[in-house]
Amino acid sequence: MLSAADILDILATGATTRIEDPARVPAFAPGDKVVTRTLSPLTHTRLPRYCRGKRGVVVKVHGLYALPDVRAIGDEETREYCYAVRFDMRELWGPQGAATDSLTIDLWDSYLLPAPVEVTP
Amino acid sequence: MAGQHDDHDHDDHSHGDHSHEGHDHDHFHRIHSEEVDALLMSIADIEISARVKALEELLTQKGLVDPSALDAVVDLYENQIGPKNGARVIARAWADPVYKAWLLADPNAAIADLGFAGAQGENMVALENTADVHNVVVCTLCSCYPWPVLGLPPVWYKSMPYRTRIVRDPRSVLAEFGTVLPDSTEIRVWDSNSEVRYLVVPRRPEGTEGLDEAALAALVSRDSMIGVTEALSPEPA
Amino acid sequence: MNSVHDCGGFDGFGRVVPAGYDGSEPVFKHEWERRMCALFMVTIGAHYSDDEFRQSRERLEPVTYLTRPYYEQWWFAVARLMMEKGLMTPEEFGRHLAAGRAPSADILAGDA
Repeated sequence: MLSAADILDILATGATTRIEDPARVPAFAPGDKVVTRTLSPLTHTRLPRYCRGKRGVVVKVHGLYALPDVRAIGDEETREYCYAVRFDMRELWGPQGAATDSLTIDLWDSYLLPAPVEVTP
Repeated sequence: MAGQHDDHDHDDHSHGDHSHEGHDHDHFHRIHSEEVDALLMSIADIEISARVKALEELLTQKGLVDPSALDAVVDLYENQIGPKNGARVIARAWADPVYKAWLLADPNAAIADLGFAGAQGENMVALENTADVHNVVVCTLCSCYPWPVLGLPPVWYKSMPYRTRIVRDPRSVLAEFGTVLPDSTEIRVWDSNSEVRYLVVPRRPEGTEGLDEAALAALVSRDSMIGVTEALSPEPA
Repeated sequence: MNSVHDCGGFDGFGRVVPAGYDGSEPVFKHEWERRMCALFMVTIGAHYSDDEFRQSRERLEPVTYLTRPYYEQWWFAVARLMMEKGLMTPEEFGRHLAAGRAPSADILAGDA
């Protein structure tokens, strides 16, 4: 059982699932174009429906973190890179989205595919 | 659970495999209990204060929680940690360009330098609002929020109206808060997640040149650090 | 999980800013909110992870999720986890809850 002192210590220190592993290179770098997968797991995910199957751009590599989808079902070990990925509002909402605005969300490797190369005819 | 993800090769970034595939039905049924569902449903309409009290008492009887630890946590988040912490960070950033550059580049270190750190703020990102770019933060899936600098989130931040609307039509939500931005301003909405937490650095108001950090901090509202409002303007002298 | 918690972009939920909002509000409005918030803080980490907690909250029936206060949703999420992890049984909790409420039930019965 955690005492008052224990719990205050934990809250003051925090706990992160982030790890450093120089041997693991991020799959994506800032500026890379990506497409989100279409997934519908019955369990927890941090890939909301509004940004499944959408085209975005990586703006930041946050680091290696626990994958929430599997941590929610007891897997404390798996780590994946998490990235801030930016989407134009028009990509998410069509013509009802504002052309000036964007949405950025943190997404893990398992949610992302490299964008297909666009071929100009 | 060990062994469930042996097919998930950590070193494989070929995007070909995915940890969800094939397993999520099994996982869902393993954690799911019809007895638990039935009990929760049968007591769902008993007043919540009685249900909370019973949970605290039973867990205490079982030696799983210490009531004095609960008291300490309440005091911490009700009386000690709150948006005054974040306001000190922003005031320092406004007053000291070197600190501001540090805050934007290494927010964890810069925030810890003022004594703030801890649970639900382990991995911070600071977002600077400018004349051209306005940042605003949400958590659509739950209520992720940077506790060490802002405390626990306000009711509206956790509400369905905010979570549903800000990601799709931020301008109308900002207008409700009295924040009307030029059409040319780029609004960046940040849907924050379980691991990374965001702090907005609002624009320093006009007419604050002579103010010290304490006076500046008084202008930094909680809502301006979420990004739904600008910082307050100083009272005319 | 595809449920109502995944709400970004839904229409029809109305205004964000409550009437009379002045930019501040109490951290807790009721004593039970204080105790529930603290119960969460002293059991997370020791007995479940934050991702397990989020999943437990998401598993609320949509109607319950949409109509119960935030910290009541936490109650459902924590109570479910404590039972599913075997730290207390549904029968045991139901009995404890009933026992705690029994005196007032007797008084009501006596008054009738």
